[in-house]
Amino acid sequence: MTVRILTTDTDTPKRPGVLEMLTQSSLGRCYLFTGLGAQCILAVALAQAGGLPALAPIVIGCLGLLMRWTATPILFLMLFVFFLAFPEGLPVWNVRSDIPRSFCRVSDLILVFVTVAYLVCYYRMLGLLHDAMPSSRTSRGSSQDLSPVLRRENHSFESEYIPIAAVLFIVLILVQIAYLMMNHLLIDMRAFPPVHWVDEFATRHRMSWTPEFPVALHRLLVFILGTTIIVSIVGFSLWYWGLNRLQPQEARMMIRDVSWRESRRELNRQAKWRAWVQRRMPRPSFLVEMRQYLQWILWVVLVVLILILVIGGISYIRFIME
Amino acid sequence: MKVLTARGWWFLLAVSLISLFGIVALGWWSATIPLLGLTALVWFAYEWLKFASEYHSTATRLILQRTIQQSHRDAVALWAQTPFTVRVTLSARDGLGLPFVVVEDEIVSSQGTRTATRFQGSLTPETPLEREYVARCDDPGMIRLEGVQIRLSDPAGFFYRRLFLRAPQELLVLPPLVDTRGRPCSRKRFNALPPPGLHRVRRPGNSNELLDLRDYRPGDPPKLIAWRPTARRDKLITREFESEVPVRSQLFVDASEAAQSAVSGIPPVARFAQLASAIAQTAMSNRDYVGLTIFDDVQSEYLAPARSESHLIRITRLLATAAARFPGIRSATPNELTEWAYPVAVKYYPELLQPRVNSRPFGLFWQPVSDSRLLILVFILMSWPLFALQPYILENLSLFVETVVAHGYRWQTLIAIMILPSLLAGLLCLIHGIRGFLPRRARQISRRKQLAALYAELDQAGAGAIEHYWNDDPSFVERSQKFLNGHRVPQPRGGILASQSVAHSAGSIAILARAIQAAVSRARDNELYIITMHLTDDDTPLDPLLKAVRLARARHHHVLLLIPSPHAETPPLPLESSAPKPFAAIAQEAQRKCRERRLDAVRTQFAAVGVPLLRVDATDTISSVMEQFDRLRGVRIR
Repeated sequence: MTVRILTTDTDTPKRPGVLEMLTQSSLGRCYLFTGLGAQCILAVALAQAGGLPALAPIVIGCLGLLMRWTATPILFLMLFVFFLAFPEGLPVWNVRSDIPRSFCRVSDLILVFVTVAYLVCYYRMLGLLHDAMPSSRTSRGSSQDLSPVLRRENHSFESEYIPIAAVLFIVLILVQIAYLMMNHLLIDMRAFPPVHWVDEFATRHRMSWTPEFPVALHRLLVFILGTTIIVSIVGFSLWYWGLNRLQPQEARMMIRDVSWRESRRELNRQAKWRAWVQRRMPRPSFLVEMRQYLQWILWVVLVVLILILVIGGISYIRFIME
Repeated sequence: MKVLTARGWWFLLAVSLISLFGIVALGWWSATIPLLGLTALVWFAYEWLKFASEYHSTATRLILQRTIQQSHRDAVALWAQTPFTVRVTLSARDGLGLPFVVVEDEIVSSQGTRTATRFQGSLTPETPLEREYVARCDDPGMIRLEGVQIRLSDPAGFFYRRLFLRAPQELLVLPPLVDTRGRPCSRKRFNALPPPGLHRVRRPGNSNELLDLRDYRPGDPPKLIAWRPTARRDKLITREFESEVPVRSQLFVDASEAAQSAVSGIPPVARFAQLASAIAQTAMSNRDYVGLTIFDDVQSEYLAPARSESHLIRITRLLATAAARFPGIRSATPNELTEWAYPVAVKYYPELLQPRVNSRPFGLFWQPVSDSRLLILVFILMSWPLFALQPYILENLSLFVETVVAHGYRWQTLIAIMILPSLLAGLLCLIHGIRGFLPRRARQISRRKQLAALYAELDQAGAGAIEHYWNDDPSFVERSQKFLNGHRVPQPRGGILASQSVAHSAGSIAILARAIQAAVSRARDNELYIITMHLTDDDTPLDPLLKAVRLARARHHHVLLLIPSPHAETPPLPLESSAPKPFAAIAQEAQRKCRERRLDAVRTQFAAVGVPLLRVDATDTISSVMEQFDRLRGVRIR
């Protein structure tokens, strides 16, 4: 039996090229030009810092943007960080960076904003051009769904593009505040409370406030502590929200599962006893089993009797004759 | 359920590394790198929070509505080869809305083939997501619409969720109305024939054709007196006319397991149903009586001949039900069934397989030695010291140790020998228990437990059912078969001659023979029996059927046998066969030739009893059958 879908499927388009997207998708055009613009700003910054070799991430970033490479953002990010740390391209620690160590400087803000904006644009463009989500898992007998899902442009410039910029700006401010806290909070387990606010900016001191506890470790501890607290609160809230929004079937399943976990060993014992009893069920006796062959047995007995009688009779006659 | 995509994992890893590197190693040197890492990380967290809040607020409160229409009416059953419209509406009760939703609606045919359509959009409580599409079923049977699969993702593609809204709906697909091949003829083609719907029987009746002359009996109407013979013989002679009775036919449709298995796309039973429906419609439009008998390996279902419209609808429904039969999973081991059923469960019940509602505790994977026969060995090893402490054994043991071991370590060695079996027993228990954590076995255990819990939920049973399905193999096998058959998952086939595994059982032949005999016993006059049957295998005896057909012929009934062509029955070359291609082609050719020989043998056997054999897929099959109707109409036999 064959079922055919006659309606033309317009929601699973083929992957368009970048030029095709330029002409068709206004949102895609915005992302593309934003990404390229971001690359230009980054190119200027890197060229000032390190010269021509430092432009390698820019080349990869632009090519990836135009050629739709999926691994480009990670590669670009790694290369970009490498050239930020080592502008000359050589991993030598004593090379001085042109980027000053400071807090809340405009150059830092612009550089970070532009880089993250490029990443945002790149990933959103991948959704429009390459695939918006992983392919669905196929089960036995199901139709092989290998065509990629592309995000159709159902959002306008105002509803998607501008909010992203606003969110990025807020994120940037939040991160600056977080970084400020990381550099001013001192963790000293000998004191109470163990966390202190220090007026002196930590990055100006290469080593530490205290000789036995380096600044980097302070920052790492504050980072881990802050991340753990935030992730725990948010995770717990989402977990509770998820419980609150359970479907009836899920809730039944959960209660049954808890009940099963509590009584699992006892139920397992019962199941084994049941299996043991089934194995030891009384079988029909030999006579009952043989009853179905009774007719054949009677026939055999009759034939044997006849044979005995015949042979016995013949023997008896021969005996008399002799 | 997977939440973070590969893209998300890579991004998280890269950004975390940069953040840590920046904070720990470069924080004193440059603020840009830690700021960059942290900003990207916070943006990632923002996307996660946004996605999670949209999912929790909206995705759990979705409502699915589906309407199916054919010819602008809500459909209770569908007609094959006629387009129908499916309208899917997805709405949210409340929540923040879902900016990017991909919805897949799947139609499952009665043979388990799946056809899906996909659409996408954004969904808010105010604006539901709607989609309308047109589909068509080519053959009779049944379609099942399980529900819609919903896939969610954030715009960057970092997070992904899949859920399934179940709204199972099954619709019969009735055979199509007669096409050009079976177009009914409403005029007499030969004047010699009686009007459509009638044929003459050499019995006294009320037609216009003279049958015989006989002596007048008191009570005969005077108008029947034949005056000329009366004058010639000088006694009253009465005319007798022939009887005109309607043409009756009985269709026998094979719905056995062999006919249900689709070898090349369409199962034979669907073709039989389509053909039988066309014959019935054509014959009934000629005012002929048509009955139906559907037989399988176990029983037969009978519908007496009639010619009303409601009877035609009954016939088409019965044929569609027969065509919708699903061979299903015949037999398999629990592990095989677990492997087949689990992907289906993941597809249709994703939320019921989440660890938070369907857990797999750590202790589940431990394989206790008490469940195996090794327990006796462990018991013996553990109890070894008790035996060894017997004075006689101890004395001999120490003597043995003394002779074997160097001086000075005698008692230490003795103690070691006494403890060693217990250590071995412990090691045995450990190895036996750890086996459950090995990847393959752990996967099987995990899947089986989750399926057991799912079956318990579907059966609305308690926690005991989980343990029951977990421990009891026959119950698990039976429930898994029911689960797979309910979702129309076909038996997986492997190997090039897999179709041969479905042998035409002798049972269906016996059932068919009995059905023909019953039809003969119920017959009123000369009837036409049209048998549509799957080509039997070489070793299937046809004697019961031949006997029944001889009986029908002896009672002056006409019999027609319709069998599919061997070409249609030969399976196509499998794409992923383990056998090399030339061998597969040779085997396919050999199978086709074998079937042709069998068809010739069957034709010869039935020709000997006066039964013509027609091929189901020939273009003129229906017209040939109709010619047989006309011949029967014109024949005057008692």
